[in-house]
Amino acid sequence: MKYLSPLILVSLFTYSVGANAFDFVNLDEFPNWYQELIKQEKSVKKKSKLKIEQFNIDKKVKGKFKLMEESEGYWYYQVDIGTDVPVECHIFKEFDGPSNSLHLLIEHSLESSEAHYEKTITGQFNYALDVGLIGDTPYLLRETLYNLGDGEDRVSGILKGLVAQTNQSLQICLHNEVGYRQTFFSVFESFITAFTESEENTEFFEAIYKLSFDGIPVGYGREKYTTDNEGDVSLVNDTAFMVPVDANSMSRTDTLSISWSNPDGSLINAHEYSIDNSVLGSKFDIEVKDDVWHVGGELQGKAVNAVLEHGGWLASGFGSYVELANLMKSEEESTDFHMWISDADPTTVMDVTISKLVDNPEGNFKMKMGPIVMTYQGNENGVIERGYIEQAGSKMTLDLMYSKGEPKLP
Amino acid sequence: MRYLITILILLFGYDVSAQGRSSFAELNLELAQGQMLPLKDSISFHLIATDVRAVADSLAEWDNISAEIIDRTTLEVTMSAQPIFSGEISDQYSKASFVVDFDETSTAAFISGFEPSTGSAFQLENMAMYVSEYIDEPNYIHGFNIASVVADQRSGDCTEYAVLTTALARSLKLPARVVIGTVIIEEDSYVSAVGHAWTEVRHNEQWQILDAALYGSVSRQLFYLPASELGNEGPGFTLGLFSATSKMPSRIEGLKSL
Repeated sequence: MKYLSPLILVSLFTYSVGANAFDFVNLDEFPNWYQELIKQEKSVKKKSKLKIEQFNIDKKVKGKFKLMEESEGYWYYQVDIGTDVPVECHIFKEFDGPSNSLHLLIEHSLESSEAHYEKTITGQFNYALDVGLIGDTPYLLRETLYNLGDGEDRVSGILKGLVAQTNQSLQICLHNEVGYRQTFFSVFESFITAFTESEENTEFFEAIYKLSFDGIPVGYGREKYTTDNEGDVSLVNDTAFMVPVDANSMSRTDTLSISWSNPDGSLINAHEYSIDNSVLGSKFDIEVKDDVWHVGGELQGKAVNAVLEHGGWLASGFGSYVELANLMKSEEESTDFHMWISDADPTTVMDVTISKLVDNPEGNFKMKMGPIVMTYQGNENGVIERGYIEQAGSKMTLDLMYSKGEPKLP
Repeated sequence: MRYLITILILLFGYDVSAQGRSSFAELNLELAQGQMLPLKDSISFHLIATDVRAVADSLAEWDNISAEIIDRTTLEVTMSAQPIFSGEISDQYSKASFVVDFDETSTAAFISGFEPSTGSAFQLENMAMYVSEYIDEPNYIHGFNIASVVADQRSGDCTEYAVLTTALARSLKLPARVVIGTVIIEEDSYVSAVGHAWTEVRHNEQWQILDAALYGSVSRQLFYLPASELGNEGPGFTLGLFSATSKMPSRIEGLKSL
């Protein structure tokens, strides 16, 4: 079987942005005039200069950007795109994470609409979700359908929100106008590209995955590997996802993990945290002292401190690739190793088994971690191209959107 | 790998609560051909799962439910509405734990507001009623919150209701545990199945089901199909949740009255 190359995958996603968004509301349920409004687009021809010294940005971007507010680590622009309502773009140096920060701004924007129209929100619905790439940067799209007021005075709107995290900051744009999905995206794309073109990337390997839940795109996971002068490997892994748990609500989680690995794939230390629905969900550190692994941190506000019973070698994220590469070169059918995965259990290590699958159309490897089993298709470097976990009638899938380099030391 | 585990944690936020149903909790359920409603109080069905041996072994811990392996993905299950746990009473069912932390300040404050009544069965129902009223912001956005967080935030779905009910029961010296499973809900015109969590409380020498999330339900019948107790109540409770859900059905077929 031949594999789709990462380059082809990137192309597919880059040129289908916005068009593949998962719409929760059936357009046919709306009157014809509203359907036409929703479909309207506009070509944004005007460009303006975006200059932010702190990020070394001095670029021309789509739309007429006007700086409305600037304070330490925060910038707010209004962008005239030639429609009735301007796009609003925010830049944050410090933030909770893409999904949580986008949610907060959406809520704030809806409150502003209430104040503007002097009506209260009488209905709020998840309208659309999407996950994709702008160059090598993942983004999340979330659209919210809302009603203000009741009866004949009722007005409806669709608030579109896009968020992306680049190397040094978080960018969020909102557009509170029905329609113009692709128009809005093109402005956001231009905005994000101004950041990414001004950044220096030093990682020797990077992979970005799209996460879907029962076919709905809900988020992304990204891993970046770099080395230091001593040859140790740093892995920065961030995830962001928004799960539409019912017609009106969105559960939000952002995570960040920074870990160090020896060149042989053994873990040195790690620091990680998660923000769940705007609250610190967990925060953990792991390090070895006197040949013993120590874990410290908190989970749901309660302190967790543990000395792991397992005192030996733990595979880092880089180490899992090393293990898989060794398995692929060998005649063995499977490989076993240990990992510390705080999301599963911060106080113990997980036994991980990766087995080869033969003649299986769903994948060529199976990974088992306790009760968790994932079937996946790995490429010749052991990079997961697609995989799934099925449990309790639900299916979570993972699709490689982008990869650069190889998970091997340069 | 990390992303996979993290996102699965949310699985438990998408189940049924007192206010409606989550997008992701509903399981496929088909009635047997010709089966009319209403159902009787005992039913049978084919349970489709990935590891039927594990499911059958787990179900053997309850009375009023039986399971026979038909093939490698199918069990024939016969059950009444409320299976009764018949296993050993672990010391853990009476202790405070990381998850069922009735010794924490916020949980203790919640417990102090409970006014037990004198009648035996009536008292148990009062516990469900109290939790049902205490959680005044039912929603599905939480993955799985521990009792002290639920007591503080007063929001959540069935897992939060079950954890808080279990904490209340243990604080009253009643052995209790959180059970993960599926509830089959019979309405007047249809039957559905959703992932669910509830509490089993030991009272008057018998285990009884307390379901604060569905307290006051107007559904015609509720059938509680257990998967497993939450065995791991420590900081690794997520692993316990995975383990329990691995014993849940992927779908239910041929459901009929007995």
